[in-house]
Amino acid sequence: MHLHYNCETMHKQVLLWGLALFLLLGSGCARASRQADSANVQISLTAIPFPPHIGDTQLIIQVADEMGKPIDDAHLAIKGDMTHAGMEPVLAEVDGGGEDGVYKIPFEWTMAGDWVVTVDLRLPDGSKAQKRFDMAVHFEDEDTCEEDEQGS
Amino acid sequence: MNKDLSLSEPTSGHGVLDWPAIGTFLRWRHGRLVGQLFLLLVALLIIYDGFTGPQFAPENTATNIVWLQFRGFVMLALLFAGNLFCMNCPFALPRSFARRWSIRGRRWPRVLRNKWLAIAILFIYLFLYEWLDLWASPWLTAWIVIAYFLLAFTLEFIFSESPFCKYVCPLGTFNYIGSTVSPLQVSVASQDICRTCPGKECVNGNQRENGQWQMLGCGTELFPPQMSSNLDCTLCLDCARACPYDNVTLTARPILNELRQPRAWPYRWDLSLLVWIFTFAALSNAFGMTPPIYTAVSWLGGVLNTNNEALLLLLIFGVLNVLLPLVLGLSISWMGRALAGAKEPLRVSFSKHTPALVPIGFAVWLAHYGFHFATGALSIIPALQNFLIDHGITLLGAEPNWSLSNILPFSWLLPLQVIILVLGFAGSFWVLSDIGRHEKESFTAQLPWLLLLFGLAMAAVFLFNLPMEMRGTGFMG
Repeated sequence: MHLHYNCETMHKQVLLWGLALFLLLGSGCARASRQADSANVQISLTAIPFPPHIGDTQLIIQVADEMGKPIDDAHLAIKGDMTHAGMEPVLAEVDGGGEDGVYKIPFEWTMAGDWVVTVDLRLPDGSKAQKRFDMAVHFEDEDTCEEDEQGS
Repeated sequence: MNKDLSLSEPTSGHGVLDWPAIGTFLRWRHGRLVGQLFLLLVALLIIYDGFTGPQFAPENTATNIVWLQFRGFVMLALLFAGNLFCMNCPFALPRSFARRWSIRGRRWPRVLRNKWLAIAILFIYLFLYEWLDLWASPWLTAWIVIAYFLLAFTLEFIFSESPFCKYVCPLGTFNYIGSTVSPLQVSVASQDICRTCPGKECVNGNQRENGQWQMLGCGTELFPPQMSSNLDCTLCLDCARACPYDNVTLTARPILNELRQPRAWPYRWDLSLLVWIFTFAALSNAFGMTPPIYTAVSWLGGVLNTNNEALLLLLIFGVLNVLLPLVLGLSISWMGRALAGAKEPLRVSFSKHTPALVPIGFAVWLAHYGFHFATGALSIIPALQNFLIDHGITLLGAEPNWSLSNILPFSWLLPLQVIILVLGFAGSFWVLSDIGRHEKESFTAQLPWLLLLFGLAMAAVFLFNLPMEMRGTGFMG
């Protein structure tokens, strides 16, 4: 069996795959988040009861400015995700109403396992901040909660 | 496929290939290319977003598409049509180019012309899935797609047939076994035409007078008039396009037909063990997301005095995916053979009953992946919104609608899973009964096999009743 190559076609194919490889390598840098933090705030999170369990609980979010002064009038949007794509997230929102910088938000964990809680904060002046927290939800009293600096 | 090469029953008409529009499209020379190009775009999106997007699985299209939508669609396609993913596989695109360049390349080594390598790669793939939490990493997901492209291209460039599809690809391996329950199969309209065909273009390909390829033949070297199974068929339909007599068909077949036919599969250790691993991995894969996996890891870590997660998972899934099916398979085959008073080799007893495992194994995979698909099929929408917004495009909205996720109420899922498992068990029982009838086996001789199928079904019901504990940050912390 003979196979006749058309050099021009072959060169085009090589170019095409070269371009694809270039695009691939060029995509090696993570793109910037569209929500650049403009608010210089400190956000911390815990849950009651702690460690958290499946079912109704309360998130305790503490917000303060860079000097440590409590902020009571922030808008907070909270999204709890499982680490697996496709599980329905738990969403909660609160607009102001903090007491001494502490916001108490009802929150229902729907499943045990590894969760990531994303807190999106917006201040009255329009400045924003985002912080993520890893949280393990169990059936028993054994848990840890740690801050994850990514995205903050 | 089968060394006992009796030609399969001819079919009347071309089945799906006669359908208006769909048939015309499938017969069209570039019909496959359209689907491949679409999935190529999807693959490029996965690579791009996997590397540059948020490294957080629920918000990234790469992890959504690969570990959620893809798996759900594959299972539904296998159940209701056939091996549609391999038909439209984007990894076969560079393969096509490589194959055109290397058509006179060397043959795949004889020692590897079996399923042992596929077994090893499938096992490694499933182990890496558990160890590296692949579903939780957009970056690793992108690398997997790149690895597929590179491996497919390299192997097809070096070798003359399609060893990547037939002997290497773990997705293909999974799909081949899954497609044995599919309702569609490639066949021929007239055996006489095939008997007198001088060129056998369906396998050898179709060349123009100037020597250029018009259509390549079957990459996995299947000969349609002798096909008794969907195993190794990528459903690419190159055979139908290459046939100068328009004699190749794609037709519907009776439910579980190939599993119920005697000797539809060759009696080989490698193929049979692969099916056992397919079945047991369905259970272990679901087990990997339930609380007892933590207990198992912790217990084994204590016994071995180590917290090496890779080692512990390798041992656990080595036992569940390889050792257990091997030991159980040999034991049950030996018992069944003894009860039947048969003098056949253990390989024959093992292999001829193995098709009975496929329906229940497929049902467990379907119940598992179907669960994820039902709870998250729509999550691709906010992930895609997020991707577009990141690039300044608000075509799908200015904010991602993260509440979009499930397509079925959560309370329906367990009952649906149980229904799927019951149907899977019924299918396996039906196949086992037909095998028994063909082999003239007594109920007593089949009892060990029946107990095995019942045990598998019960284990699956037990697993799906366990609370799910979705992990993604490893076992050790």
